[in-house]
Amino acid sequence: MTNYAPINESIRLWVTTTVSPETRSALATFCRRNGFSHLFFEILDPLLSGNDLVLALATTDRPWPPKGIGSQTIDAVGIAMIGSEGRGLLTPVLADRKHSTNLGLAAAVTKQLLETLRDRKASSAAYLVRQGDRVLERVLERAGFARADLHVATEYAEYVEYSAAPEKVLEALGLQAMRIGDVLALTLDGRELDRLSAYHFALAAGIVPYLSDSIRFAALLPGLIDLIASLPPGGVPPGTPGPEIPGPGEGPQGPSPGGLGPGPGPSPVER
Amino acid sequence: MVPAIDIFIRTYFRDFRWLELSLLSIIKFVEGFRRIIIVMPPSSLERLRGSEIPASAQAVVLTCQEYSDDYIGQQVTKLSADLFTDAPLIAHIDSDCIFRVPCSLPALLTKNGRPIIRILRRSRRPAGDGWRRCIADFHSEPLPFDPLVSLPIIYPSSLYRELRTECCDRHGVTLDQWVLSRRIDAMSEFGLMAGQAWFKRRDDFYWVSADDEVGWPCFQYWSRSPKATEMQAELSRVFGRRS
Repeated sequence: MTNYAPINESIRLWVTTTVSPETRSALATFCRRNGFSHLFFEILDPLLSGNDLVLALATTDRPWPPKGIGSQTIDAVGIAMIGSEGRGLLTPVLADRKHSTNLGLAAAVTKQLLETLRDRKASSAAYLVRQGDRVLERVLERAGFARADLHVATEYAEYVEYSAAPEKVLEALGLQAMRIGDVLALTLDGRELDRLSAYHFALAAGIVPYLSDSIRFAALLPGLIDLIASLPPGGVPPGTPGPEIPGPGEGPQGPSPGGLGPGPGPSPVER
Repeated sequence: MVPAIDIFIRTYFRDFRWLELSLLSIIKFVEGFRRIIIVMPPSSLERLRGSEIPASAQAVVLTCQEYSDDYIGQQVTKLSADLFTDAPLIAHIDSDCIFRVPCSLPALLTKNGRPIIRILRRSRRPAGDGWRRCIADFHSEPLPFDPLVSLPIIYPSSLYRELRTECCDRHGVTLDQWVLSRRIDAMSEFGLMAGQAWFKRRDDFYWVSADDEVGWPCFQYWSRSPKATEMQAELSRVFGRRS
């Protein structure tokens, strides 16, 4: 059993797609206290107004009163963005720095999030991994993920989607059959512990540069972009050509929405 | 002869350490009950390790509905306690209630086979307090006293059913719906029950003043207190358990 077990006993685990003012405020505080305010103000907050985020939260309630602004403290959060085709794009579990080695908590949040994706019949759960990052690739492969067909490019690197069915990941990580109480107390055998440790700590390390606003060095991107919905309408090189461009006098003047077709340069989002 | 009494505890994951201490105190000090009914939502049951419930506690663990707001949810559960047991009398305590001296529940909570309802005529809680106001909101008139006294509190099984019917007749919604629509500072499940007893079945109960009560055998700690861990450690020593 872990020394975090008594602490974890007081932490509430829950999953939501709608964020109350209390939780919104708690998310802002969580991001600020852990040194990544920009994640909230520049990304999460704008996205929260939509219905695409699934948040698995680990929170501690204020002793009294248990409602209102300031009543929640976020200990950890796992995020999935449900994109086109029911894909669940994942952000690694973000834990408060006081829980930096609280693997039981991270695993419990992961379990809740993946179970929710499974129950919502998400087609996949996926991470965006820097191409050629062998450590992350290996860790994800061992967790049931496989290289998929989506690419993202920043100014500095290309990222490849690693995806799997949520239930497959649960099974590979050994979380499927475990009770939440055992996960939180970390009453696992050595092999299970190794597997979860590698998964969580590698992902946590991979996202650090992004959270530190050093995207140049990011081994992992948060799954907070709907890749397919973000594609240009005419397809991307070397992909589909898009709708035919009307000839002179056949349609409206100017380029049609699909008229930009394949181009020579790299696309920021490639399928 | 007093009808069978079951002790009813609605708990959740955060109170498991308190629950264990409460059960140990019942084992040590309480007699005159049939069994302990422990009810919690499924998400909490999944976090129960088992060691919190001593084998000798005569306890049954059951699950209730999951509520997004469990503070109100636990009150809804308590108001349907009769659906979790067939005992004619149900004694409510919370997980953070610790018995400190020996007691017999029939002697403590009944008289001549009738349940005792303890009341406060000199309450520190004003009549406009949300916990008292909800009684008037529900029953259309206030109680002339404060029914919120220290636990355990006992009610006959039939009173729960009657309160549910009353809610449908009076408000046109189920009791669950009525309770869940309340603000957390304006809802008292035991207030509604006492109101039902006072307004509808007054003579079926003994109404006893608790204003000058001393030596009540059950002490209610506050599980949400920042000092909860300290208090638990002290009680664990008393009951010889892990802290």
